[in-house]
Amino acid sequence: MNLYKLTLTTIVTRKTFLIFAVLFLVLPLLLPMITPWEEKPQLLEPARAQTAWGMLWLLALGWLFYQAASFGDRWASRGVLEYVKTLGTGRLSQLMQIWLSCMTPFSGFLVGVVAISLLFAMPGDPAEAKIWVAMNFQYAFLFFLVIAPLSLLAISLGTRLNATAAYVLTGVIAIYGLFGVGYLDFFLSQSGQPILNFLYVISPHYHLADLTNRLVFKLGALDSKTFLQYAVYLAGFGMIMTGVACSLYREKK
Amino acid sequence: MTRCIILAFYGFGFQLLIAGLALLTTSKENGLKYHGNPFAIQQSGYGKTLARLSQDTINVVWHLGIEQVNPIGHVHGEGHEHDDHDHDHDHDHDDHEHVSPAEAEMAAEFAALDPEAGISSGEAPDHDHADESVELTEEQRSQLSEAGLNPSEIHCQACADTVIQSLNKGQEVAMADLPAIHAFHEITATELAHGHDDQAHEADEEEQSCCPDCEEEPENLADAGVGEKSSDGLLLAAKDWLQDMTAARYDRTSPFAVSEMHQKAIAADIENMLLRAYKMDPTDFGVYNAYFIFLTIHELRATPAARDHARLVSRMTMLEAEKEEVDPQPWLTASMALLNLFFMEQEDYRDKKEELPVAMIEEFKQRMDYYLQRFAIARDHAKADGRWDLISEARRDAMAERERFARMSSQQFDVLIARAEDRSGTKSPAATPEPENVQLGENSGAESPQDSDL
Repeated sequence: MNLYKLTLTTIVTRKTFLIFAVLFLVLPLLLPMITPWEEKPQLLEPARAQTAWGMLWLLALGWLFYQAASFGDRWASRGVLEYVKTLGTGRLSQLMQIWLSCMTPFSGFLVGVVAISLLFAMPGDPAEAKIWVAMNFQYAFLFFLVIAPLSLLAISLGTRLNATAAYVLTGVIAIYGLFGVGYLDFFLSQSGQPILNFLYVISPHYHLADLTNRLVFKLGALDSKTFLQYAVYLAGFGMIMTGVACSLYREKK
Repeated sequence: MTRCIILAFYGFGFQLLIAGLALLTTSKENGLKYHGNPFAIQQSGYGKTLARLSQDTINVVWHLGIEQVNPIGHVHGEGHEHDDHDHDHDHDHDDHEHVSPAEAEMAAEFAALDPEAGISSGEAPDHDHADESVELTEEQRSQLSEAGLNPSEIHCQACADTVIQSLNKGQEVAMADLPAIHAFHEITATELAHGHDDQAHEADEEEQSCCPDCEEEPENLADAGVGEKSSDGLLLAAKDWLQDMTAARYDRTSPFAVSEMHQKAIAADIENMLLRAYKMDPTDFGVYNAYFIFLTIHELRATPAARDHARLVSRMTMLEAEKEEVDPQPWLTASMALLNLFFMEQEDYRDKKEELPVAMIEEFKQRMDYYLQRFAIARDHAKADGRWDLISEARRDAMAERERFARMSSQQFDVLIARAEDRSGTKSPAATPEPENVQLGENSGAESPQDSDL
């Protein structure tokens, strides 16, 4: 676990995560005050959950992927990966160690966001509260299925390209999956060409993991069948991404 | 070994992916369908805030869109009567919300019915600002006359200067542009008077249009702005400089007329802004009404298709508002949407030269009463919970005004029903002269498709 310790120590020493930690403590409670909550106090609590989850997506897109890409780039170009290889750490083990070290602080944020959502936005009604908890855990699970494989990809791309290029590529895939597919959906409804249909089907439908709507409008938890479908689909896509990441990973630049 | 693991990832991944896709695409509703509301911004608390914030921007773009701020080659306005619409840059109405010509007309009729009522929400439509002294030389007067402009119709000195400058540059200015030019001056002066106070905007956008300063004349406002400027000095100058630079991107330096394509592009831009704001909060009166008016009276809209869309938008607003349990405002928005639908029905029937069926008017009345009742319940709940006092005074006043307007409409429905029943009973419409002041919306929308080129 040398590489894990080295990477995690680097992240901790940089202290950037502390800035985000402070923001996560403050903004989910402060930002909702800009909503017209005076007229409808019920807006306030869902807005807290919305802010926290929105910030988590931003953190993943803006910080986690860059961390991952930069460690891939840095350790590969400085010969660290080759060094740990001589100590007997295999390729996949290296990749997983870097990934784990990036995910460790990020998992803290994920737990924190679920906690904020449960502490500061919990519905008063016990039956509704139960649904709220289920929704948050479903959201956290699907979110993880999207973010985890993309971080692996960022690391692997980092070992081949430079950090910025790897970050941009990963970010573009994530943004395409979250927002771009919506545009494709719109074009499809206009044209219905087979090639567009094909493109639509093979696109990463990461928007499925965005359950903010369900939280904010209290639509209730996904039924188990739909949740299973989402999970199977995103896990399948994630495994292919992991396969691609493992194939792309290399120790030496 | 490593290769085996990677292959296993691919293998399992593909299997799961195909299984997931099969499950998703064969499920009852297409599971892959994009929900279209990323991070639930639309209609959430943030969406409501954004809808309110966007109203001013849209108003500015709409009213002062390129072809009106710089009235160069403004060829379409000739002969149009601009005086009959009220875009609510009259500063006695909050929220910069638009009042449709129909509502303005109706308000005027109500005022005629009950002179003491003094409806201010739909201010009487005559837009006569030409009450300020404008000093012009003989040469300038003849220049204006040659350009087909009546010097006495020019609203203020600033307008006169702008028009003369434009004419000197060889640009065309139509009579129809004068209200827009004046509105631009008013807004600029108001901004100066408010010292570009963004915090005031954030605190409550309504208050900006309700402060007594707004009633002052532009010159006084400009003076007040200068006073502010000396205190804030450099910061404001820098901000103005940046804003001027931004505006300069859209300055027309070409002496040729605004192309039709460009006008369409501007209209499409405005429509997109309105639609975006509307999606943020369909129950917000400001954005709903602005969008509705745009669809029904804009010179490049106001087609049968756009009218159908306006109906759809109104129904959508009513549907969304009907879900509301806490906030009283959506119920009033729903009543205004209902009134808009009524006016459209009335226009359609008038075009067919038929009378509105009594049953239909009764249905409208029932619905209006229901909305008003729900509003009153929600308001009373808010008062009982102590929430009512948290709402800004300007917003509460706006609600009261809108409620009064809706209540009067409801009474007016009674008059219409009585008249229709009377007519069907006596069957002699020619013999019974119609009382002038109860012709609900008789002219309300008749000119609306043509009267405006916003």
